[in-house]
Amino acid sequence: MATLDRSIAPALQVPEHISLGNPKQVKLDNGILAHVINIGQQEVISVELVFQAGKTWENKPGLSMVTNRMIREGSAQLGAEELAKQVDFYGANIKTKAASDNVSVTLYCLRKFLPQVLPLYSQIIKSPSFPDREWERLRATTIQGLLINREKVETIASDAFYEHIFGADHPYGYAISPEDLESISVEDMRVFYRERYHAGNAIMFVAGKVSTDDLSMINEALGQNDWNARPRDTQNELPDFHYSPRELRINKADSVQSAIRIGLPLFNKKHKDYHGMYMLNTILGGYFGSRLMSNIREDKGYTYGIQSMLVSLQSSGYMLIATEVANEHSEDTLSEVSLEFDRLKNELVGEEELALVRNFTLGNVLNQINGAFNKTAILKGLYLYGLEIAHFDRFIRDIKEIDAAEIQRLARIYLNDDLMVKVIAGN
Amino acid sequence: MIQYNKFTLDNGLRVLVHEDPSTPMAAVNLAYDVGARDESPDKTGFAHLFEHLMFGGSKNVPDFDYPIQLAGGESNAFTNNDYTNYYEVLPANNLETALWLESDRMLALDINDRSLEVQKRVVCEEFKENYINQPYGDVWHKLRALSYQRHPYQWPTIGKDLSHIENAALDDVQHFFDLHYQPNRAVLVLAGGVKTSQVEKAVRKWFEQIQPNFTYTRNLPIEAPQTADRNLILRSRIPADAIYMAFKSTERLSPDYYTTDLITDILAVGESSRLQRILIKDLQLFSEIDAYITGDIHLGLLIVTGKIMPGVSIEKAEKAVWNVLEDLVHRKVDGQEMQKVKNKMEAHIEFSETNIMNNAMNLAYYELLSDAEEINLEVHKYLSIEAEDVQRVSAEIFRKEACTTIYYLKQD
Repeated sequence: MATLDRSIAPALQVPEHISLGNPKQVKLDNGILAHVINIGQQEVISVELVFQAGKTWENKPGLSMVTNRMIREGSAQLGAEELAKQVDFYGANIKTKAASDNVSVTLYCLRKFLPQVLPLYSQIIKSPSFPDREWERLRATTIQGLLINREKVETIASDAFYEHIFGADHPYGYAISPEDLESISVEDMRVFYRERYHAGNAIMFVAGKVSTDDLSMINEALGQNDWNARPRDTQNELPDFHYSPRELRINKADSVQSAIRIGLPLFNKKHKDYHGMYMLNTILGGYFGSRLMSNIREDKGYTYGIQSMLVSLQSSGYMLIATEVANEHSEDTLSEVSLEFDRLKNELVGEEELALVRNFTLGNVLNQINGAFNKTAILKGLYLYGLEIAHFDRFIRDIKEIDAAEIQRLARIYLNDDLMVKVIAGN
Repeated sequence: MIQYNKFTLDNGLRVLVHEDPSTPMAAVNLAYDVGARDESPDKTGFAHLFEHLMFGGSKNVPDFDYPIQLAGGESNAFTNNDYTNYYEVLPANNLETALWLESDRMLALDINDRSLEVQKRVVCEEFKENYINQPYGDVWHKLRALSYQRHPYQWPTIGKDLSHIENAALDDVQHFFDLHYQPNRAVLVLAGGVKTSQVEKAVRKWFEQIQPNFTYTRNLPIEAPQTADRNLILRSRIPADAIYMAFKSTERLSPDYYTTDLITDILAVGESSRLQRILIKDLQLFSEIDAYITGDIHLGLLIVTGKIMPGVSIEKAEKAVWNVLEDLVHRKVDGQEMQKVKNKMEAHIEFSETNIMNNAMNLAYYELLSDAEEINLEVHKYLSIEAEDVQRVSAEIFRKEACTTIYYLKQD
């Protein structure tokens, strides 16, 4: 057999066709827009409703989170226990998620049980009862969870970070405390629910193996005018942002590691610099081979991991570098991060590294749109910002075209030490 | 149902291919039959440390991650007590890049001091992040050590102690590689947008010439049956008392394994599960509670653990857990509840199969365990479990004298 030269890498192809295709959209009778992602051989389906009812819509800290969590705890027709029992019986799952701008309630089930489960999901959405007893219990367990999290340096550092990026009285900035939860009543939830959980305020995503019959069933259950049909809510005025760049050290005496959070407020994915920042962030700390990982983990061994991320919000966005490091290396880590900022500002990124990040990103995006549930997450990221498929195509084009000069330009504007909020929580 | 083709190379490497033409991606999974169980008691954590070193470059390729990322892919790995698993996801067109890299590090790892020194530090930080610097983080070390007196499951994959990792030497690394990283002790799975006929050629090209050089005979101490309850009290600055109970469960290949899985589903999966409903909702003794099996190849554990509400005594909470467990022993589960956990399991498996990486990982694990074909018999095995099985197996497992209990208490 011929000897194989193992030092020569196999030929590579950069993914050419990265496309979201043409996802179907259906308007339910009551006007809800349903995005249908019909992919896959497995006999499963998910139905998700996203409401404009996140933290930015609450008038009491924590109200959005707990209302969305309590929505599963009993309906006008069934008590919490019976409801849970029936949902579980069909092997279904109803998951709730609350974020800064939106909340969602998602049903996952075997297709064969959709006719049985959809009415339960529909009750939860249309007539939750918010029983006092369930809230008393959920409040107590949630408070205990908060107290446990507060013992973690990660939580301590993150809470302080958001407070200084957005301000302690802005929904993007405040953390929810046990006292906040103490002051929330089921009546608050009922009012919040009535105001925000209506058909006009909802967007739907249906994913998995989806037939026309399934869609008719969904229309029957959730597409009628029996729940709060009125126009989409417009955002009330939010408090001003209070952004105060600074270095903060929070001592936690018994800690063997320090949590570090570094970052600054930016903008969301609609901003003209976003795609460039996406590349810059990837180079800095957005993948395993990033500069921060190479330097602080693979060269120095200060940490198990360090990441940098770019996060979009409806009315803002931010960049965040997060890591947990050995206490004795927390100051070194801060200076190495600054050094990496300087390198990006002072030196053009080389062609080889740029090609690496470009290829990685394109392959990664191809993976992220693979399969019904992944693709749904990507589409949600577009539609919730009022963006279309064309925006995704532009993103792919920009990733291929952004050059070293543009990355340097962005680094010079945004990666400045005196713009950063830096938090170290540890010993 | 996961379809696949299988072939075996002359060097003993087993290869499975799961074709899914609907995806442009490929998942590559390479499982090695070596885990923390193969470590010596004074050098624990080594299998996992070694996994880190596998990314430090091999004989002909200086860096593992760079070519994978250049090919648009990502790579990672995990180690558990039983085995070590490496995987990549990348565009299917570039599959050969992963085969090149995986074969080169199977052939000859570039073992060097620098990589060892850095990864020792990284793993020590991983140890601290997950097992020291978390509330209750050290409990798993204690629970294993107490549950197993002879078997190597007595230490967690991360290692018994930071010093074991700090003391790892270059010779140990070379020896471990030579002994364990052999083609006949590995299973390679390719899944996604791949064609068996094409990938078979590429697999042969890159892997066929790697020869197995060492023979390893696994000879693990057998854990004697537990005949008396074991108890420990830990105290630290935590916001809530917690209880951890570990019962001896079954071996992974025992016919009763699937029943133990359903038992923990009856106990803790879903809002209507017994522990959730009775102990969190009705009696309000716990803020969170869980039950699961560790699923190890040798005698595994069935764990029940929960955080206790303020003002509730831990003895009262423990008694209430026992009442729920003993009810499974004394009273047959009704048909409705049996059907519920089976439906849950069926949904769980069906959702899992939507992901090519899950499929590749599961195929590799089943082939390593016994035979990949078993994976497609799983649903049937779960569906044929009867209420009598649940009662019988519960009676075997939920015995006071076979239970290890840790009270984790708030320090005032």
